[in-house]
Amino acid sequence: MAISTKESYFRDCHVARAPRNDTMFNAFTLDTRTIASRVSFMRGMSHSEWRKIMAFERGAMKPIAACVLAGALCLLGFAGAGRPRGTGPAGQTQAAAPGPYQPSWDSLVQQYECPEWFRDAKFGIWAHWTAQCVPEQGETRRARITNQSARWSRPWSTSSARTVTCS
Amino acid sequence: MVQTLVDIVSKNGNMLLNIPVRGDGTIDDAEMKFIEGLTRWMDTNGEAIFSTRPWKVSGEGPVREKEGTSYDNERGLPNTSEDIRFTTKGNVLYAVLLGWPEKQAVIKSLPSSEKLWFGEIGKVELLGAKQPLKFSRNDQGLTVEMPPEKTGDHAFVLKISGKS
Repeated sequence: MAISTKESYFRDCHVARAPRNDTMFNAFTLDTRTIASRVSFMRGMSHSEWRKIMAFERGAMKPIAACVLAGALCLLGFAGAGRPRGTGPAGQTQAAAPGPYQPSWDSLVQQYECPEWFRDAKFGIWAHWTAQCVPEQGETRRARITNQSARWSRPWSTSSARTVTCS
Repeated sequence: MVQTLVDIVSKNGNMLLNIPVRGDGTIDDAEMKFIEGLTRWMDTNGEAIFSTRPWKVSGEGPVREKEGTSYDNERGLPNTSEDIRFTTKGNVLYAVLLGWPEKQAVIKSLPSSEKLWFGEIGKVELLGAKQPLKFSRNDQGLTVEMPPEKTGDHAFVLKISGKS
């Protein structure tokens, strides 16, 4: 097995995701674009300035992290939670695509079935490219020094005895 | 990390590994080395991971039996060859040894009273080794004679199947 041969994993992932709800994808790409625009002025900042920005990012990233987690766990019904929806860039109202889920636990529990490909997959790799990758500082950097898991991987590993991220 | 993966899979979980990237999108040497090591392990032992389903028991061993230890070396306890995790696929039971045993491996969850869904155990193989292994079963469990040479690193998979 070569890890890169998990192409079908991602392809199936996309197929499984597309018909249900594409809000998550939109939320993620929009926010990634916002981050990318910030990166340009983050180069060359002092450490204290960087810390201030990261403190802000930590707050701002939560909805994105939630979306990523939701995707990873196939809880597609959570898509876009924590992000205002229904308004377009110019303030026009946009109707969200109708999906099978209502925003309630009951709706999720009753309708959601974990797809077989996800049960078979067992192992996946994800990479995030964010503002903190540019100066190689922030949580990922700290993880490298303290041998602790990076912030986004905590739901899978609460232990400091191992490093699930291998940075 | 391999041990963490095995432990998660034995409990019907999936593991998502975070590989952080540099600003220019490349990944560093330590990460590459790590992934290559994992790939080597998967080449030999991946069949005990992918498309498997958990067994009725996820595992056994001294580390697991410590109170409050939810998975392998959560409290920094090193795994031993007595720490074992199970997965299944079709009519095969995989027992993953989290340490290399000297001479013999003993699987306490498989005493002669334990009825397996595929019937009697007919064959025990070590993934990465050529010959099937000798084994015996009694009230204490399944005892497997290990080859003298270690077959790899991290964790060692015994493929247990029925009489064909």
